[in-house]
Parts: sequence; structure tokens; C-alpha cells
Amino acid sequence: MKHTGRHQRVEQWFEEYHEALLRRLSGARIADAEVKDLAQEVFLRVLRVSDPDLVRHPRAYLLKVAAHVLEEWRLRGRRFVSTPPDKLETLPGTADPQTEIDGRARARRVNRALAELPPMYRAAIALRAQYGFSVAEVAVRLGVRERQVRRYIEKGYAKLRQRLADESGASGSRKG
Amino acid sequence: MDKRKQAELRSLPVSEQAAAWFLAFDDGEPAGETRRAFVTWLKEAPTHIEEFLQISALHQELVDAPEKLAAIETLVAEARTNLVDIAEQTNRTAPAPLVSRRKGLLGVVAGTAATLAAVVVFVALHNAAGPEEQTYRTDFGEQRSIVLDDDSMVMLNTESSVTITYTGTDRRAVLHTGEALFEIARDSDRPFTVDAGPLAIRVVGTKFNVYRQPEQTVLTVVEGEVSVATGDTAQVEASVESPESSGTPLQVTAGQQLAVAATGAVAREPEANLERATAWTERRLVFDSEPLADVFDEFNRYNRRRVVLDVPQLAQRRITGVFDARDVDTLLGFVEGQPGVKVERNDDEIWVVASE
Repeated sequence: MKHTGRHQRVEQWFEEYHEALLRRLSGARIADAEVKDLAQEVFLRVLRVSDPDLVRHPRAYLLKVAAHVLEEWRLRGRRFVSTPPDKLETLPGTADPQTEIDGRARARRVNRALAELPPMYRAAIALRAQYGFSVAEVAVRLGVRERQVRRYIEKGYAKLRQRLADESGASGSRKG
Repeated sequence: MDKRKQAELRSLPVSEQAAAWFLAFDDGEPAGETRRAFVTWLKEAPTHIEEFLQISALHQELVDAPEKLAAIETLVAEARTNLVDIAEQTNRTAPAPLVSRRKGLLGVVAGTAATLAAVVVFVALHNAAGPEEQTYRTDFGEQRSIVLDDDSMVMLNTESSVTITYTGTDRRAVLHTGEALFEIARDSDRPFTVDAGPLAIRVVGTKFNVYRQPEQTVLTVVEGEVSVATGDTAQVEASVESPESSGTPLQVTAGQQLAVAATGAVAREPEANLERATAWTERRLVFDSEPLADVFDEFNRYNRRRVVLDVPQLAQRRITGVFDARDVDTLLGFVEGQPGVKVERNDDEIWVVASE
């Protein structure tokens, strides 16, 4: 029965904190190179988790492990966590004014990149992510099949990732 | 996410795989089998985890954006106009090559009565549905990408048009004008053929760029391998199916480029510049020691205000660099800095002329 308890905690943690974690990962907060390090460390830990545990809530588990690693790094003084949480369990919400300013700048950046995508991509992504429609609803509105919507979003996210990575690479680490 | 989808996923770039997994979870926790497959995927490589985290964070950024990209109606209207300007040329199905190809196909598989019956049923079923034919066009300066029924993608460059016909037995595209990047989903039962003027291409599943110009058509293979014949798709089909009677098709593999002139002359480039051939999909122009005259021609494909180069001694000047296709000013700035050259602009054109 102790398993059930742990899983409840994972789920509960996920509900409450995963968005805050993802906000910390996104955009200017943590450089791509550091996300790479993070992924490496998370990978090693995920390999050690038993499959049944992981399979029950894989996404929640993954993000929870990522949050743990970030927290450990912060305690060891790695510099990149710009708004250090006191504890993992109390990751900051959005009330921090600096977070909100960062958030707005990042939102502009991400909307700019989104606007550059072809109309089908940007419609599929904006309707799904910003208006909260399901893939099925987006398909009806755009008059295409669900799998096509999925494909537009998959491709579109990959393109956005590339574009934003190019941007931050170009502005962040330009060498002579 | 079903099994077939999972198998197809493997051939995609990791960031697209990650986005597909992200979507699988975003509509609520998926079934146990899908979760198991996801765990297997996560445990395969750190890059899988990295991309999944990145895509999840990107999604969160989009969700959090205080301003939405545009109103729902705007988004939908733009997407829909981009989707279907289906030319109502209503089933211009070119019966002759279709029939002859069917016979060829039947001949090949006519091993047993059972297979024959199966094929007949298949053809009959498909005929009941009717071939799906759609023509897509892009305007001046416009690009669009089309997801086809089987998840193949066609990205269409400016001033291009392509007709796509899917039947139960084959997938066909005719590139009438312009340039397209094809990313074809693997389906060994239904080859994909492209008719592009002096050359025809046949693939099972791969990624390649075709640029049809008046004087030549250039094929660049980005991934995998394609079969090519000069002439039409019937010829490439015939040469693939019975090379002994119709001549062996040319094989063009990833990284290679084939230029077929309108006259039928073939030139092969074994080490093509792939970045350059596909840069247009990002609206980038890549030049590697190209004459300035050609460089401006390329810009003129994307910008309504044409550049006219009227300084002969500059025309052969070699240019190397990467440009945004919509930003001709950077290059003009460089040209303007050359001694004895000035740039004059009017509403329609930009003239590069000698300054006495």
C-alpha cells in the first residue's frame, strides 16, 4: 500500500508544480546547454527507476525527477536557477514581479516565432495551446483530419524549438 | 498513440517525436500500452528527455502568453484560405497512363488467382471511393505546407503548383511549376511518384526537394534513396518494375543532386549542398560563390519589388552568404558601398546602376 501513497504524492506534486517547473525550464531562464546537462542527469536517474513505477505516471515522474535535479544543483550552487525555490515542494508561482516581466518578454518572443510559421501550423498550435481546444476540436475548426492537426503541431513545435534555439544561440553566445 | 504511429515516429527528427509524445499526454493520461512505449522511448537516449522537456516548456510558454497570437476567427480564416484553393479542374485523371500502369501492376502480381482476386477487390474498393485529387498553388512570395492523408508533407515554395492524387494503389504528384520539398511517409505497397517535367521520380518513403525551372529540373535527395527516369512517371514505374525491358532507373541517394535539362541531358552532383537546397523552407537563401546576377534573381522570387542589376561588371561578382529571403536591403547595402555604383528605388523596382 505504500506504493499507492507514493503515487498519490507524485500525482499531487504534478498537479501543483509541473507548470512552475516548465516555466523555469523555458526560454531565457535556463540555457539550452544546461537543459542538455539536466536531461543527461534525469536520464541516468530514470534508468534506475523500476518500470512499473515509471509506467504508472511517466510524465509526472519525469518532471518530478527533473525538479529534484534542479533543486540539488541549486543547493550545490550552480548559477542558472534565477529564482531559487526554498524547497522543491514550494516552487514559486507567478506572483514574483521579475517572473512576470520575464514571462511577458518570453511570451512576445514565442508569439513572434509562432507568427512566422505557415498559417496552418500557427492556427493549429494557437488554438490548441492558447485557446485550449482539443485536437479534435481544432480539426473541426480547421476542416482537416485529427492526424493532420497532430502533424502540424508536431512539426510546428519542432520548428519553433529550432527557431528559438537559433535565436538564443545567436544573441547569447556570439563569439568574435 | 497506436502501434503504426509509434513505428512511423521513429523515422522523424527527435523534436517531432517529442512533440508527438507530448500530444499523447496532453489530452489526458493515455492507455497503459502507450505509457509503456513512452517509457521505452524515454530510456533510449538523454536527447529524448531533453526534447520532451523542451517541448513541454515551449508549450507552457505558449499557454502562459498573456496575449494570444490572434483571434480565433483570424487564425481559422488564414489557415483555411491557405488550405484549399483546390483548382476545380475536376478529375483530370489522365486515363491513358493510369490504365497502362494498372496493367503493368497486374501483370507483376498475377502469380496466383488468389492474389489477382485480392488486387481486383482492392482496385474496386478504391474506385468506389474515387481518387482524391487536389491541386495546391502558391502565390508570389507565398509558401505553404500541406499534410497529406498518409502524414506525408509537401512544402510548396513561392509561385509553385502541385497536383496530388492518392488512390488505393499509388500516390502521385505532378509538380507543374516551381519548387517543392517532399517528405514522404513510408508505404512500400503504395509508391509515391512525382512528375516534374523532364524527370520523374519514384520513392517508397523519403525526403527530397524538386525545383522545376523552365530550362531544367533539379532533384536533391535529403534522406533515403529515390528512383529517377527521364520522361514521365509511367517510364519510371516501368523501369523500376521491369528494368530488363525499360532500362535501369537512375538511383539518387541522400546528399546527391540530379539536374535534368529540358533536353533530357542529365548532370549528377554527388555532394550537393543540402542546406542550400532546403534553405527556402526557412525563407533563407544560401549562396556559395554565386554570381550577383543569380543572387538577385533568387531574391526576386520572393519579393514583389524586383531588383534589376544594370552594372555588367558587378553581375559576375561572386557572393557567399546566408540571407533572409525578404531582406534584400542587406545585400543592397553591400552593393551600394561599391565604388561607382548607386541604387535607385521606385515603387515596383530597385535599380542597381553605374553612378557615372
